[in-house]
Amino acid sequence: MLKGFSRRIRAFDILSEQEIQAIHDGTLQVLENTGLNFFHERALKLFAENGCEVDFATNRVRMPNHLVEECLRKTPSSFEMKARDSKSDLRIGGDTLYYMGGAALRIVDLNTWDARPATLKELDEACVILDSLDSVHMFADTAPYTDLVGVPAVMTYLVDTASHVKNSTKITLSAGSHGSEIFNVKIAKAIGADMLAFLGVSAPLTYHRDACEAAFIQAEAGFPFYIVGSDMMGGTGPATIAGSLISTNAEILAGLVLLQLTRPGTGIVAGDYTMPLNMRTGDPCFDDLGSSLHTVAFNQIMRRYKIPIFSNCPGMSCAKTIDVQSGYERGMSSLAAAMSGANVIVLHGSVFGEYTFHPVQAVLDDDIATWVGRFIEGFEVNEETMATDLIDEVGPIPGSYLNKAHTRKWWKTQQFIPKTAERSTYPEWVRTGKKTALTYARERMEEILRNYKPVPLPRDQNDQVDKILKEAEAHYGKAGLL
Amino acid sequence: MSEEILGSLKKAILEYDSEGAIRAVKMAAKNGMDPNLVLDAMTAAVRTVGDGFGKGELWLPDLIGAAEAMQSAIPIVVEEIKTAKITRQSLGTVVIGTVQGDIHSIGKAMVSAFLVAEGFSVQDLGVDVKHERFLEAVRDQKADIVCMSALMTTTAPELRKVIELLKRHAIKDKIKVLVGGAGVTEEFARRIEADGYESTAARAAQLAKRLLGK
Repeated sequence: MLKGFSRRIRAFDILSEQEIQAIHDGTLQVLENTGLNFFHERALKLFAENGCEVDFATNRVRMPNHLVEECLRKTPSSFEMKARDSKSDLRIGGDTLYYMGGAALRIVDLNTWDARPATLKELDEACVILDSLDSVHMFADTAPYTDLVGVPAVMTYLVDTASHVKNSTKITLSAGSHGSEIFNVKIAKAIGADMLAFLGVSAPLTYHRDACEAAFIQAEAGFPFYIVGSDMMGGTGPATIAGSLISTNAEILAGLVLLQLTRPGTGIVAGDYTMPLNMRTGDPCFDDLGSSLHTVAFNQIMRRYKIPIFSNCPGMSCAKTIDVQSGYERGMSSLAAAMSGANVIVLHGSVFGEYTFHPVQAVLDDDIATWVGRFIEGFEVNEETMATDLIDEVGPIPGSYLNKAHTRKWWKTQQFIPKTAERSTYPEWVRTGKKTALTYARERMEEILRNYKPVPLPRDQNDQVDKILKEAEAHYGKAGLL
Repeated sequence: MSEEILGSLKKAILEYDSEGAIRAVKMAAKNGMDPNLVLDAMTAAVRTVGDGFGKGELWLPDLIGAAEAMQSAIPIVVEEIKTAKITRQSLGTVVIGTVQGDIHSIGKAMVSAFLVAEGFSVQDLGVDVKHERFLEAVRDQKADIVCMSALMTTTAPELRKVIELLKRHAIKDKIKVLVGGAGVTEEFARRIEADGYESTAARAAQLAKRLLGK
């Protein structure tokens, strides 16, 4: 099982008890009075059978408070996932923090910063790099690229999934779109591994047919779920953080009710991908202050519910290049998410929002992720670490701690040795060509590609995955989607 | 038996175990082993650690730990050499210290460790070393090289003063003077007529070798 990082510091609270209660009450009120639209007949029937007020003409579902509370109780506080290699198994929940690689459309050129479709070779290379990084524990579904040279759009999610499972033992998220979930269930079975199903809300307050259909298929296949709310504050959700906490929470809890009614006890990790709307461009305002405030409060509410927490915002920056802005946005937002109790954070590799990706960014993110992970692990205070005897032994100058066994034993656990940060002396920095973190990251990426070999998928399973892709292609061809 | 003793000596140094190193060296003396062989074994062990440091696999506490374990055993070997009336094999003798008014010791300790790893005999005068003390030590030890460190721009001028003192006593031309530390630049080193400057400890030891034609 992958260890991830263990939070030992007390989680950061931003809301008072009264504020949490008020948001919870407001959420129940929205679920009971306003309700949500579910564009799926089976979902509507299921809700109706379980005491919800369902308007079949408008697809509106209003949920009684007791049903929501009951489904919250049925949701486990943590769940295990089996990978194709037991070393990559996961236990999501509790005080464990894992990271998931980022997702995007295109690869970004590191010299011109132009975006272009990625080749299949670049897809495989990105997956190999994500597999090699210890701080990446899972793969996102539509990742790393969904604009692939020579691959029909409808096939990209499955081609991505195939690349994940062939190049990594790490667990992957399963996209539910245009029936890709049917083939993901087959791939999961073929490789003997769990996948984490994706259930995305369409804000405000709507679950579309595709999402519901994929939820039924994957719940019945036994997949645990990642439910994600992604309001854009001021656009598809209220402009206020408090208001969008209620709308996001209502959306997540409605999805949770659907899943617990479909298969009671389904493992769920609740995801926050809410951020302000960019009031100039109409785009999402990735990694804005508002998204971090929302994440921290959302995480506190989910801790109160004892539901595992997924923070989707940190990996998305508004910067178009790998630069100062991308560094501070990613660093600050992932620290805020981790300190407030996130169990999964999306981080590695996305450069601009969900638009561009580059493995060099993933290599840089490995340092951010490990820094943040180590931060929440805190430090030990005991007789040995307090070292009062040693302080007495060393005394004032010329005493030194550098030659002490205590130093040799402890120093590495008390500081972080980044792989890509520039830390040499000034003369050495000049002598070695004035390198920056970006140079080190490029060198590390190239080194990984030269030397790192992922655990291959056994031949028969590899063939089965290829067969499933062919089957999907035939299916989409027949449907006229290729 | 000798192999076994040298093995445990190397092991002690690689484990930064001063007491173990002293025990092994005493055992070597008791068995009448050639003290220069004992020195070679220790130098080789410290060099292994220095190489690991150079590759980025080992760190400052390892380097200092190994060098200290060796340095703590050296007085016993030196005594043996005197008793046996043989010549100590060494690349040369280096006197090293941080200049007057400056108490920074880490860079100097690193240079010492690399000098030891190269096979120099090193006399470390410590920190805040008075000008005259450098002069005395160079004379007493018949040193080939004096290494001086200054971390601050305010203490770097002390380097010039020591060099002037060595000149006045007609010693400067007979030895090599190496300077370093964050307060020093190559340009400054040239100006004060030092024989060499380096920006890292590992390269400083290489420079020391080159200056002696080794």
